[in-house]
Amino acid sequence: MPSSVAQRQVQSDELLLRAIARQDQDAYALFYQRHAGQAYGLILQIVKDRAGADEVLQEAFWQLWERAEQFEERGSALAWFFQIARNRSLDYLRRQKARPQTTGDGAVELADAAGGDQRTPESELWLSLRSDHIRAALAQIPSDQMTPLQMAYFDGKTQQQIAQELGVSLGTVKSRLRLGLEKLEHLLRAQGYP
Amino acid sequence: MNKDEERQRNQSDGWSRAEVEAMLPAFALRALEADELLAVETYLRGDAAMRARADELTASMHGLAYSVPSVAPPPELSAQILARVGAQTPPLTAPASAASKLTRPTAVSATHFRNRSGLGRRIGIWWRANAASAAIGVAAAALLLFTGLYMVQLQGRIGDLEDQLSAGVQELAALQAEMVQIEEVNALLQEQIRGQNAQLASLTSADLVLALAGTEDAPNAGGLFSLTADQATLVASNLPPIGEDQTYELWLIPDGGAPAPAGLLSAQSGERAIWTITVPLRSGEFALVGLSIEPAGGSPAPTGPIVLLGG
Repeated sequence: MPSSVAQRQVQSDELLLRAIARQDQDAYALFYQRHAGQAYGLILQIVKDRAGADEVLQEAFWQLWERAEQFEERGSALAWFFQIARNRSLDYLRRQKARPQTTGDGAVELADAAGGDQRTPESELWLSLRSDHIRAALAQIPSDQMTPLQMAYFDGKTQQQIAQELGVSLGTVKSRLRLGLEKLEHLLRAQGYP
Repeated sequence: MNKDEERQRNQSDGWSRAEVEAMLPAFALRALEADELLAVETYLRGDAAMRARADELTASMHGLAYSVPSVAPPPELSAQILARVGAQTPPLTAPASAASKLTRPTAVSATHFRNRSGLGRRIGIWWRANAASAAIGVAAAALLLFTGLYMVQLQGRIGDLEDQLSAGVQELAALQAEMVQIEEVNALLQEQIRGQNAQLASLTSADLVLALAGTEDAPNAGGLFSLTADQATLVASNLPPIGEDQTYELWLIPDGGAPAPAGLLSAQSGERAIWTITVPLRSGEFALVGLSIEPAGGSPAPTGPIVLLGG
């Protein structure tokens, strides 16, 4: 059952993205309803600043609207959008590093931010279908693999930087990244996600 | 190693296909150094299968996004993002009443939902429950949009009218200025007409009218002398100019008598000059009229050149 549901959801996201490419505002709104919350969580995790996250979320969805026709059907529409959100977030971080440091008035406690999540029934359904499966898969990845994966994904760190911070060899990091990502891929496929 | 593999190896800093494949997880995560990223990217341009594998890993990688909690964006942020593309659907965090403003789903998504038994029913119930308020919301939004557009049109119309009024005021001011000039010219012309009428009247009603001719000292000069009682009018043209220490002097010359000084005439600008003066003699008491150039203050008898003479 999870597999078939998941297949339909992926298909639906791609249909929405195709409609967005035709400037369908309703499809855009529905895509936003489904995925804005997780995208915002992802962005907040990377930029760790509420104002910055607001800026990046706007940029990401605007890019979705402007470049939906560039999505290639062979992949996941949601992965394509998360790629946009992550890239924009890491770009934001690089811009911030280039600027003089300021006090962290906009810094956000992610746990507090997550507490305000209120979803419509539609988004609740989608999120419950997707996130529960994926989180279950993530829980099966060993922490020594998950940690370098998260350092790379959320912090934009290179293998070399991860190795230095964790105090392990570069080869170990390469191995853990590869094993962790391949395991995640295997688990997601088992749940019906491509 | 075939030729293609050798070519790709050269483009990728000499890495083999197996070596590049081993780097794909880090490539998907963008955890490589910049030069490594570039090299792998270059290699993938020539290997479609490897590119597809990289895309698969990238898609899986984004499952990591779910390792952090979902966070609802602030309602005002959602409203901004949706409004930017003109979408009417309320934001993710909107309360139930605001969520009822949702526009209908697209044909694509509606069909999609209808094909799902449980999910479709749940969403359908939700949609129907909010249909009435959604219609009101849409109508209110349409009215607001229409009112806004109408106001914009009115503002534009008012702006046009203000521009036209401003142009009209400027044109009126220009016309008024032109009218003042015309009135000034008209007054001058009226003055000239009155002068010419007076001259004409003096000539037609004069006791005596004499034509004066230029002498050898002023061969181009000419004039007309008229006399009514003791008021004489002399019209002269092309008189020789005089200096500041000189004056014109009129002479009435009795037949066989000495010229009698009849008045000093100051210089006038222009080719023609007109003087009206009171003279000591009446018609019949002199035979000739002459005009000479004298020292300032005049002379008891002509001393300078006589420029006009007639009788």
